[in-house]
Amino acid sequence: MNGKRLLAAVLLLLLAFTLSGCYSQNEIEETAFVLLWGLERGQNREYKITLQVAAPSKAGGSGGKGGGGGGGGSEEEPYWLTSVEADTIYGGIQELTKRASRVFHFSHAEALVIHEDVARQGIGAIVDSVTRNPDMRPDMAILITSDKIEDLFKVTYALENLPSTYIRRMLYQSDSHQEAPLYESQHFYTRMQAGDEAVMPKIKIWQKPENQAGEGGGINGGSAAVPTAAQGGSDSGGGGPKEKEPPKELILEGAAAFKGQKMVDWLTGPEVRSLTILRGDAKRCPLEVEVEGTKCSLQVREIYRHVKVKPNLASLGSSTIQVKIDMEADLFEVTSSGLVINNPRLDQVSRAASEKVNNQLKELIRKSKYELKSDILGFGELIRRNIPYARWEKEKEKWNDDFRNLIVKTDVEVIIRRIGMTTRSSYVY
Amino acid sequence: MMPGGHIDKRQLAVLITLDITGSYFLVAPRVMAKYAGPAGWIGILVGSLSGVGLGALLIALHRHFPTRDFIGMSELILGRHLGKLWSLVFFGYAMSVFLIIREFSTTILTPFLPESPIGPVIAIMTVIIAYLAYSGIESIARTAQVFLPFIAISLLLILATALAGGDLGRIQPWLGKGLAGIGLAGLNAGAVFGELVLFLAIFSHLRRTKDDVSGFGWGLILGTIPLTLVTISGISLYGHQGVTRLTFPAISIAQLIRLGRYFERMEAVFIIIWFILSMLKIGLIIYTATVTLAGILELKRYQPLVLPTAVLAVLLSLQPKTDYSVLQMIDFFTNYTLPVTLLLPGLLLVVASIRKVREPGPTSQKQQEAAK
Repeated sequence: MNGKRLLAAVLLLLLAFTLSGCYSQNEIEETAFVLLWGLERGQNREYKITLQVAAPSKAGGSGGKGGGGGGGGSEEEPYWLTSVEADTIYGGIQELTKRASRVFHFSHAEALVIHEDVARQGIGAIVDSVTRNPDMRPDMAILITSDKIEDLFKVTYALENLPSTYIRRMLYQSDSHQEAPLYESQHFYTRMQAGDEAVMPKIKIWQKPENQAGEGGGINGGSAAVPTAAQGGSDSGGGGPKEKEPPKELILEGAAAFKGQKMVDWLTGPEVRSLTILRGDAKRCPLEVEVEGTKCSLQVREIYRHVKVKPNLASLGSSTIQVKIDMEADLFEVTSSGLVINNPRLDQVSRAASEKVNNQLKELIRKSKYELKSDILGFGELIRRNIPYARWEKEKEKWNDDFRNLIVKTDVEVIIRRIGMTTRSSYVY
Repeated sequence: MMPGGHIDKRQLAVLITLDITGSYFLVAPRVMAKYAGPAGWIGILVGSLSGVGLGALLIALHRHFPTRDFIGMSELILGRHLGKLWSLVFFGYAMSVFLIIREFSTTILTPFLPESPIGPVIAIMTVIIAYLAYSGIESIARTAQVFLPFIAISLLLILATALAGGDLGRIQPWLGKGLAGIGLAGLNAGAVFGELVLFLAIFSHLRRTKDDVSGFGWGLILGTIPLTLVTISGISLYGHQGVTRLTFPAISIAQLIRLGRYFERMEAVFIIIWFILSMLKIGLIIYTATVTLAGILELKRYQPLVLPTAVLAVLLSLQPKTDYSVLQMIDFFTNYTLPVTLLLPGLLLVVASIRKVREPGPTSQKQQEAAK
């Protein structure tokens, strides 16, 4: 008995050696936590890799110093921005360690921003590097930009200390406008294949509409006017025009549509919203409809998506897909006080809303079929689930050419559930 | 029968659950999706049928010879020398546990301890395994009883994540790669259920002989459910093709677990739970191997052989050079060992019925009681 206990004690002591973690040790003081990283086309090499690394010593004091002297703020950024050119991503990161005092750690990286040029050329090698490296987590967000990545990472936003927090929270926030999809590196496995092509969110530096009126109007035009953008514009306008002020905001809107591993085109914000609705993921989105000259502002939620797939085994491309989308809406604003809200009126509004959403869906399907020629809608995946395995394996290569013959029937039903805290505007007598 | 304690019905069920899920939990989604495509989870269910068949064989043997473990039975049935030879085959099969040791240490090393050499990690594991085997089957069973709830919790979290973030529709079409594919997946999963043959060395520790059916049955059900669910989760999160490409599907799934926006990076907690699970399973197998070896060598106690057996398994586990060859060897194991596991008890049963061997009468039972 004593011998047993002694043995147990010795074994337990031996276990203590594991605690010290003599190999693979990571001291938190010796770790450089990469927050954001970006990939662009290099001038001489394949990639230019830009890392934004947290600088904890500066992060703590930044609030106080910012209050003291505004001018010095830009020098005391709570991050270290560095970049290198290399042919492989891992090689580039190792190259950067020559200039670093700490070991780079990617497990806290919030997002990878890929430049449009690289994306259009193909991101197959990036996908491999990101999914193979055990340091990179499958919930790292992937974003596409057309701006210079270094400029993008330098944008300092008023509410958050770190650009990475800003971007991450914007991604969370995209639930409330649905104009940017969420794409994480886990989706490389599922949403980047024949029948379900990738759609990655677009991020860009937000410019004041005064400077670039054409571009701002083009994207925000129509029904999709983003309230925040409009607000931001009027605020800065009121403050008086300042010249060459560094950009303070990013905008997460629209998406890059892929075909295989190559980006083919941009999608606008409203198109992304339609895509989200079509895929059944829309949580909350704004919608404006016009009834008898009065605009009604709604918030729409997707309740359920019924999909009926009738595969045509003779020719898969001409299968039939019926998508019926049930949505609930809350009434948030009625611009004309004369408009009485009653059941017939609500029916009118919901019919207009249904029609509008349905038309947007049809337009998106048309664009995907004939312009992008890429099945970003995920219809191929829906077909795959309803036909024998071998059949899909045989046809998936040419699916992007075939699926334009697909017969898609969409049906949207919006029901206005809540009319808000007032039945009729209070200033109407 | 070697010393090692007694187990009751529930502990037998827990041990069986442990033996089925054990380390296979970590790779089941990949292997199943590889053969059956989206219908991988059906492969597990088909595989569990082999567990049922094997269970019938084992229970029949156990009912005939309730106080004997594998070496005891085979010496009685096949005669002394042939019986020893047959037990050596059993021992050899049990030693294939080295694959599990290597597989599990790779699962820790590649994602979590990239710079560590494999030697020390495995050495530490050896200590734990040897200690478990040394303590006997009762200790293993009781420890497993304590830790099983944690494993259930980890499974529930995985399932919740799959329901929230995955797309359950990805497990369609229901027949996956077709019946042949499901059959192949079933054979592979069947090899894992085949490991239950090791319980021939454990049944004799049961307090009551009649508990074998319910214990085995519950264990089989409780072991099949997690494997099925983790396969479904894996396929609905990563797609059947994606899962096939994951080296460590369970880790990749665990990395996606998010409770709100605050509890992330759960995989480190999970690996601890799975570490315990795997250690218990490996300890169990080393115990059966050692007991059999001690029987072959006609020792009174098996304990002196524990460390040598564990070290032998560890040395074997260091043989594959790359992670990929580990994957290949596991494929080899699951492809070819199912017949062996059916043959081991099957032959004994056939010979016993031909030769009409019965357990010796009350004299030996008295000896047993005296031995207690």
